[in-house]
Amino acid sequence: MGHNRTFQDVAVEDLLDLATKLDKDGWRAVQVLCTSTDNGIDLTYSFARDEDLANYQVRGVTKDTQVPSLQGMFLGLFPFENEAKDLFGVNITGMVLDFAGEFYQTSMSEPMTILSPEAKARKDKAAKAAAAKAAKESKEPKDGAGGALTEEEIEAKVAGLPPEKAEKLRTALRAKAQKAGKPAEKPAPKAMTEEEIEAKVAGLPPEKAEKLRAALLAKAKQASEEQQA
Amino acid sequence: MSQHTVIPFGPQHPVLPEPLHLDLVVDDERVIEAVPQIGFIHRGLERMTQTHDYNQFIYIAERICGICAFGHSLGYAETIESLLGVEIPPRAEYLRVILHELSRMHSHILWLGLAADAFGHEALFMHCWRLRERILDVFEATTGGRVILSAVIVGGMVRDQDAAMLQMIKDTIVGIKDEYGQLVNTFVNDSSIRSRLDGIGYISKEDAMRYGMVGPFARASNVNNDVRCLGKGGYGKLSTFDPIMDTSGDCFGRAKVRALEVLQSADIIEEMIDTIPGGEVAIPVKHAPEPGAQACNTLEQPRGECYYYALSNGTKYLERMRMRTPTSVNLAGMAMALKGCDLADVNMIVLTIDPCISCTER
Repeated sequence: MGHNRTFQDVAVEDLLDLATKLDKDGWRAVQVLCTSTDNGIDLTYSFARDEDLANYQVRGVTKDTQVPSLQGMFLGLFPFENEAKDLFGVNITGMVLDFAGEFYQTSMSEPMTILSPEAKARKDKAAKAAAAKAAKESKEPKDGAGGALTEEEIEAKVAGLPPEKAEKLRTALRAKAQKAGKPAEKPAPKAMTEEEIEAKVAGLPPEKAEKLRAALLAKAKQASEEQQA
Repeated sequence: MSQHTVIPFGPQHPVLPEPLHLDLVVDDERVIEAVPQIGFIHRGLERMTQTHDYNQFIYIAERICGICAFGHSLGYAETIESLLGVEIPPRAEYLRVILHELSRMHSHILWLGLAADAFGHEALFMHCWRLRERILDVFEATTGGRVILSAVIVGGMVRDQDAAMLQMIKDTIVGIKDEYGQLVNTFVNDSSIRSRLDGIGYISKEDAMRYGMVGPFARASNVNNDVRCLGKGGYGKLSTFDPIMDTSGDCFGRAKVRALEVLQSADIIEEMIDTIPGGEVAIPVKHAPEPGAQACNTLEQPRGECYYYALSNGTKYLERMRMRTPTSVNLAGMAMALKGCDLADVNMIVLTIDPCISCTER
């Protein structure tokens, strides 16, 4: 059980009205957190009342965006709004308790917006993989023929290439087209002989050998039935 | 003719367990305004999600604070389990509650000792911390650590506790209760202690709600934000749970709530041990959360409600991890409680919110 948790987006222009309404309806402020994204800073405001925990998210706040402070209604948010200003560089205006960037003593400004080299490397790798996947998906054939290139299309592709390279590419594309034309076949499972089974279980403890032998025999029987079918 | 003076309190002060600075604007001996400042031990722990995956980060989460160590590892693990959509075995839920309530007992007894030391009752401080040592011995016997337990993993618990160990825990709790009762009797009935606590730092119920206070600090002003009432995890298996409340709203009320919560935690532990089911204590968790998935979680730590948030980017490294601790929201209430008090009472009022600044700053 626990709290009934919800997430919903809200525009920065509607933030003050939302907070006024929540204050009037008896909600208490839980916290404010920031997340650094490629599109700016996402702010998450959390409010609780009885069993409900509502999270309101303001997306893509930039340095030019003026975010109104909610300290006038919820003074308890002063540590989080000052933290947002110090660690993320969010421009929060109208704070009751404003430490003017001196709330936390840090050696660099806006440290939570700076990616570590490991995180950056991971992010770049993930972006490359996503781009490659998207490119592959966009190249995948949409028609029922399975994407088989026609002879004219193949000739168009190899046009202008050196003769040797053109011949190699032509052969490869023709083989691909031929393969694409046929539905993929699952290779039939090969049935193991009794000698092969005995060779596998040799050297094992008797109980284990018995179990493995039974399993392999069952598998071999299934494979031979499939082959006959 | 009265004169306003600004007296700095902290960050180094004999009564403060952790660095907190207050600018006290005083008129003779009376505090007119108190402006808090923190930021002396900010360690940037939340940023370490960039270099540690979600299984490794639990060991950082429990090092946010020495007193709330188990609570943070528990809250973090629950948040990640929610993010992954994982359900832990029932036995693990019971073990988590047992250790969490032991953690609450040791935290409150520690605080009672600090409070006693703050108003000059050193013998009481020594007795409280001596009792607390027995709980730390239980931690050491069950998990191997006295302060940092490393007992929770994402998916359950690191190790199981057999029947003999659970019986040892129960015997220790029963043994502590009698002696602890005598200490509580001193806190509640001694006139010199009462004179330092009664009527000091009063916060009304309305103000407590307005400032969003949580934990025993709020419950002493008759505001119930106890997350355990919502029946999450092992707490949902309790036969009954009523939070300890008080209406006095002053330092004595806060001390009384914490003192009684220790006894309540002892009863919870006994019930959990008597009804704990068998089975596994962990399930393997290896997969990464879905990209863009987010989850939040709340947990009732000794100081109050703690909020956790996690955002996934599809890898094993979280995009964002957030821990909002109870002292963060109680700072505003503390600043209001200091208004109008005598300078000599400042240290008691600050102590009665049970500040954990290392949790607040992370």
